[in-house]
Amino acid sequence: MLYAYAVVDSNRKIEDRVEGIEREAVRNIPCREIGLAVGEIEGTIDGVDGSRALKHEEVVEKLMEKFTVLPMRFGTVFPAPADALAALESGYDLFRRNLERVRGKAEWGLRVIWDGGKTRDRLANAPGPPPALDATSSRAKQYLEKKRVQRRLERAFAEEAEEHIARVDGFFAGRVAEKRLEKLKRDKLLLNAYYLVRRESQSDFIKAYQRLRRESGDLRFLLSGPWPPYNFVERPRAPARGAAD
Amino acid sequence: MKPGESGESRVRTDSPDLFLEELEKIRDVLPGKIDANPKNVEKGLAKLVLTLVELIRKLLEKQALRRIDGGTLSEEEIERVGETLMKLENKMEELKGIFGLQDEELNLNLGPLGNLM
Repeated sequence: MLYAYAVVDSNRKIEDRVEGIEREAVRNIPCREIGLAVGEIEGTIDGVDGSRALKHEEVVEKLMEKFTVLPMRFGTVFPAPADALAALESGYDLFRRNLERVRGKAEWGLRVIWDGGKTRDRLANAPGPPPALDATSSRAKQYLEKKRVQRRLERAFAEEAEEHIARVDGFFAGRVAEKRLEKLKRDKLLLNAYYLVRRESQSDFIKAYQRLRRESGDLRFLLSGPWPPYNFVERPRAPARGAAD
Repeated sequence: MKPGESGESRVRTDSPDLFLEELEKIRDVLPGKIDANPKNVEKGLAKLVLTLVELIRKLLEKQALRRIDGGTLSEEEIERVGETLMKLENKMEELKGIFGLQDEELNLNLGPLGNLM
């Protein structure tokens, strides 16, 4: 079985020995101008396994030293080289487009935590508009009035979060090629952002992060990178059996 | 700078425990794939179905509140819609209890589009 690590922008042989998740030699399956870096494995991939996932990441990073790469999802396997080649052929244009898109760039992740609970309490205690329904008249109206108040609070909460997110993201304006912002995945997790940064802009990007930290005492940050561009790869529909991200 | 080239740690934070806790919670709520274990499959399906019901319930609620604010519902209609939504919410609570599901579990990750709710 062939385990796939990444699509690479080369149809050449991988010169240096790169060891895969089962210590197998990683090789390149060429397809016109690009290739798929794969390793022959014996076992099966059942779900995400920590040490194998790290090894997958290590292989992708090794490949990144020589090539522009589109990392495959952990657990992507093909029964035979012909299947891998067919997948490369069918997604060829998309792969080429994506390789150009991420060339010379790396991914950085920024996570921001705020005190969502405190914000909710403050908003709940702020004076609101008078009730629209006579909540004393029936249970149904009491229920609807409660929902109206909840909805107003949710809206105010989301607006306040949006203001913070815009301010945080503003620090990186002009320093990133692309971004993906996931907002308020949980009350406390204000922002989960992925930035695609040109290699030559990375030190500016880090400086912007340091300034952001200095000027945002009430927020907590986690910055990580540089990573292969996992979050900036468009995936063809069902190219192979993938176990998981 | 390529991955790992700088020799510095690639994760920078002054609150590692706080982030670890939050990220663990996200991972639990949004698994990367459907768990088809026979023991959990019933709960998995219930989760999917109840998520969709919850989405529809919230849309109905939103629409009802809009119409109340717009003054297009009569007193009788307001009573009826309030009663219906209240019963629906109670039924959802009951079903969540039966399948051991929490509110935050009733969501779907739509990839680049974000979460369903």
